[in-house]
Amino acid sequence: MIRRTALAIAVIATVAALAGCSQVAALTPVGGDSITSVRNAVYDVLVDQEVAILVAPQCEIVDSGFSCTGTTVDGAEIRAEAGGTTPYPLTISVGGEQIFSGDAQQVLDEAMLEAS
Amino acid sequence: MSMSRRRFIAGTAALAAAWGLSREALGAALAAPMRASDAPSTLMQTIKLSSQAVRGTYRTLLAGAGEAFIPRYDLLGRTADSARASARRSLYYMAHLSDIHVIDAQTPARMDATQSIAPELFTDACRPQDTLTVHVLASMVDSVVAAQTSSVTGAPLATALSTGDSADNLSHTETRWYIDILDGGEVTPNTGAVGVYEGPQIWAESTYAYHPEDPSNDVYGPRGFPTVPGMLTAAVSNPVRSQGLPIPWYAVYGNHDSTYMGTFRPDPTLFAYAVGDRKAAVGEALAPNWLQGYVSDLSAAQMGLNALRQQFGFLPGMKAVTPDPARKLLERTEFMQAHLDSPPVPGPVGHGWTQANVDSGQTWWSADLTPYLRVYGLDTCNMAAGADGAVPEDQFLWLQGELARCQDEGRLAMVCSHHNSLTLENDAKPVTGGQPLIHAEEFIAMLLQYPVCIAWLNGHTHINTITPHARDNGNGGFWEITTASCVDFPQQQQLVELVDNRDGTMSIFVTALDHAAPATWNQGDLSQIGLASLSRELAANAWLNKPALRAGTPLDRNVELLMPAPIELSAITDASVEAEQMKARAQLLAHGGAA
Repeated sequence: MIRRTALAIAVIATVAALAGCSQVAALTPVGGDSITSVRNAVYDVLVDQEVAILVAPQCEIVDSGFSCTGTTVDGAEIRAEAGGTTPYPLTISVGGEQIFSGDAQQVLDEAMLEAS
Repeated sequence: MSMSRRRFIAGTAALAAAWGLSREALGAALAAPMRASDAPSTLMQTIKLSSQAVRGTYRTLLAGAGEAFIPRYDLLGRTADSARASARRSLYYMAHLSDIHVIDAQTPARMDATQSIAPELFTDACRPQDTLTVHVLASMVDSVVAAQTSSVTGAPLATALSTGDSADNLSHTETRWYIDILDGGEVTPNTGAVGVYEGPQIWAESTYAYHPEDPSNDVYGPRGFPTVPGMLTAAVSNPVRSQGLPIPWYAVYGNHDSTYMGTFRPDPTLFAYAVGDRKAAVGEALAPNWLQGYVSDLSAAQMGLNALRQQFGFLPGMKAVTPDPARKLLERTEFMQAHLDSPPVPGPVGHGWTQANVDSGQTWWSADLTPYLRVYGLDTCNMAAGADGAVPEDQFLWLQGELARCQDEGRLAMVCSHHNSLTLENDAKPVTGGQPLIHAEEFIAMLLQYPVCIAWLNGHTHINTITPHARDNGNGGFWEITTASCVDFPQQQQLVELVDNRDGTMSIFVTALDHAAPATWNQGDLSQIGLASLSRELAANAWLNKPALRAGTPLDRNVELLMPAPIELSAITDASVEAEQMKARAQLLAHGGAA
């Protein structure tokens, strides 16, 4: 695996040497998976806990990973904070009260499964 | 019915003549009131993974509970009056397809072996279900046909909008297969040797690929992927029959319809390689040669070198395959031309593009779905490099002018593109030249200037995602509606209905649409529908493609998206809506439907 990774890096380096920088910068996987993982886990938790949402949390990248804020129909703030790498440790609070603490990836994995 | 009797009779006569239907039968059908459909949908049944793995980490699928519509108030800023449910009228009902990814799994141009070099980078280079994409698409067509009457209002399905990545790899064959399945017909998803699969899924050294005959020595075996004797032969031998969409459908370019592997500008070497007789079984010998071609400018000297490099097919790690000229890669405008080479029904011929597009090379279009609803099909693909996209300045300015015109005319507008707001950040330009590229923030800000722009439909990430884009002043905005794909789990598309609530608000109902194959694959079922079922199960276990992410959440699947009415919707008369619905119902009846 190390040899293959080294080869991949070498190939990309060759590309970098021969092409314009903007083309090299574009050679990344389809964007958005990390922030969407966190966002989806937050939504799954809120729906599962029957939080009445007025404005669903919007997530953004921050120094510590991701931060998401939204509003309930009662005007309470929904706030979520998550780490920046998998499994994305996540906390969610509504109106200042923590309603969830765990890994976003685990939330996503469990959402795929049949009801237990 | 608001329409006068005289107008109804005249309209019925014209539609009967246009569609070759009995005037009496059509009149009786159209006079019947529309009723909300109770056809199977994700409102009644969803598809879930079994709670226990059957082998390793491998899980089968089974039916789960349905998901009711969840109202979303993000753009309304308040909850809505429940009386809207009895007052509402449908303005337009359509299907949203995207990321169909029909794959010719055997073409030498499919660089499956790159997955062995960088699995996390080339996650879609070689999926376990690669040979089954035509089966899935035909099954999705069945679902769209079954959903021809709205489960919300009873309105008839009027059109389908496909937001790109219809083919997987610039291929003539893939493009033809996808068009023929949507138009209706029969496709045997095979190239090369008749009835024989040639590719990494049978080559022992291709351990990165799933080997259904015996996965014990590949990376899928330890995870419990099943042994399915005969799967590959059945996939490439038996014709797949499609009843075709009963409605006109439109398409836009996706990055896989525009660039090689959805990422790289193709060079002449690749065009020759696609129709050649060598295919890579392992990655090590392949990538350096191929990427060297990608980054090189096409000087005369380079052209000569490229011709020599075609011989890399004789490098170690390459296997002999049966060549097939039908595997040729498409030039840019040939993709549009392929859409013009299709029948008038379900139409429209060109599916959004016209001969003028082919002649000029302009890859974007507009269409009036009704007198009160216009749709814009953009091309956000970056031809320099990269999977993600941007809006070239010329298209941006064109769309801005068009939306201003819709605003002046009081006409609702929707935008279709392949890329979504998370992936509209690609700034790659040719080494020399290239026009300015507009990215998500500026593009969204422009759309928000025009309240008649109510929705932006797109795909690309293969994730069901609903995103509100609100104006700073709190007065509405537009909804971005992103659908999952036909290739990765959950293999879902969408139904979209625009509804006037007659209370100063409107709603966009979105329903996630599973393809028609049963949730649970019956072991050994290699029929057309069985293979579609198996494809979904394999996709649900294909960890590289992050299946847990792609279904989205309940707030992204069956939802009612509320917003302030962007115009005085009563200006759209009931009679004009009914006239459009009569056309759509006649169209469905002509296809054999029960609208």
